[in-house]
Amino acid sequence: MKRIVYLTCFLLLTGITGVNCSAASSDLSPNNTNPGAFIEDLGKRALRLLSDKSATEQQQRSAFRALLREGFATRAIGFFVIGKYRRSSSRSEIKEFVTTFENYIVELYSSQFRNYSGQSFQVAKVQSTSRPSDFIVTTHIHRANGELIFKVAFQVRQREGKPSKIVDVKIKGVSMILAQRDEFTAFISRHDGKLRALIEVLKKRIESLKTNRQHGDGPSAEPTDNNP
Amino acid sequence: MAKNNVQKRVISFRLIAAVMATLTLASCAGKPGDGTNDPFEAVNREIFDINMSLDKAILRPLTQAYVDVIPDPIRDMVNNLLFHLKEPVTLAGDILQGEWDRAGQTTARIVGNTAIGFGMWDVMGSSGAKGHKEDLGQALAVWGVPEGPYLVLPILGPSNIRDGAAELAQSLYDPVDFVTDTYLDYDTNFLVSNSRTVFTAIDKRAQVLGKLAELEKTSLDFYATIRSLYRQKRADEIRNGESGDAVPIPEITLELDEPMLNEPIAQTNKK
Repeated sequence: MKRIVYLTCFLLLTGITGVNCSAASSDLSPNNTNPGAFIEDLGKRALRLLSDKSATEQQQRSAFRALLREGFATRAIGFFVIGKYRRSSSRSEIKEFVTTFENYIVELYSSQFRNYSGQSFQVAKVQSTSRPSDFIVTTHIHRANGELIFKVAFQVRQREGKPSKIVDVKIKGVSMILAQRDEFTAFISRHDGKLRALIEVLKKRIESLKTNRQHGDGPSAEPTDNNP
Repeated sequence: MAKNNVQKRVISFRLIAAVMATLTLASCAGKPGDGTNDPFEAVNREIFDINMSLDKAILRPLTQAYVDVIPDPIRDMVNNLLFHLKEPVTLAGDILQGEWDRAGQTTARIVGNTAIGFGMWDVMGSSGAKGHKEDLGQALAVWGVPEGPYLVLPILGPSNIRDGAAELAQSLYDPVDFVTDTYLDYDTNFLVSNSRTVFTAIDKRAQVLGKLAELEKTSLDFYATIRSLYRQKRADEIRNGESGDAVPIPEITLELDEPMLNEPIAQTNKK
């Protein structure tokens, strides 16, 4: 039964993306309503970014930031990860946090760019959820030799007349925004409920990531995993 | 001798039930509205710190030595054997959850891997019947038992009331332990079951050897990170890896002023 469902989804996906590829230009239309195609396109552009050896690190980071802003609901995610402390913080502080958080994400993931070695991805299935606007798009990440490394699921939200946005990334059933929220709210609660403390520590982190990058030692290589 | 064992197990089971009931009652007196379901947080953090120190002092170096000295294929065999010895427990879990297909798979694996692989080669896995893990805690969850407050167990690490009690109960009823109890003399049995415990710990630790340290470095609150990851991973196990269809999806608003649902009510009287 399951296999039939997956096969159907897969056929639908490949069928639909086939139509999109032939009809659309390389630009993603803002009113694209297919979550699978949305992720596919975003992913392809990310890979192009990563494999462009001629770009400087600075260019790569700018392009990555632009892609991040375009594909992810960064503001909404920023609001979400501070949980209940959103209500007890000033607007300006929240804005500052969202900017800092975005910088932190860019810095954190930029340091991984050098570890890209030809991995590819593939949209495997699209599922609807109990929220009509949200879909889970599961992708498989493969090594250059085709070996499956792990699966990543994206929660994509569609909005009327506006571009789709990714609102969550799940790896092995672990939601990144839930994990981030648990971590951040625990931190804030141990610092007198002050969002300021979180902003400062993130800024420090960004600085140390930048310094590490300049000195050439980044975090460890891609996650190797025997149990995708 | 056998009667003594049965008596011991009955007493232990009653003890676990009493502990479970006490903890559940105690948890009702916890802080309301915190949203993290961790009323024992202070104690949990202490135990977590102790566990982490023990890990750094003993388990991590031991595991590193294991990984450095023992070659890959042998480590795989150890991993396979340990997994194989847990399959009866998985089978019980499958049956308790009414997962007949998976129970069939597990049975086939037990038979196939014992006869052909002697438990050390995952012959069945190579031919497509990949293994999975089930336990009493997962069965209870499927039956509707809520996980209850978060617990950090000494040495064993993250857990919760339901899974902690289930783990304890299960360790008393592990079929493999029954067999070794019955057929081996006391000393050999002692050696065998303790070796199994030690190797299980090392084998498990080896899977995340570099990653835990990395996580600790990048985490702002390692305790909270582990708590979150543990809970989510556990929920994933209970769902058998199905992507959360029944899992409530966080309501995220894209506008600052819209209310967020599924969120705990903020404590307005802050100190």
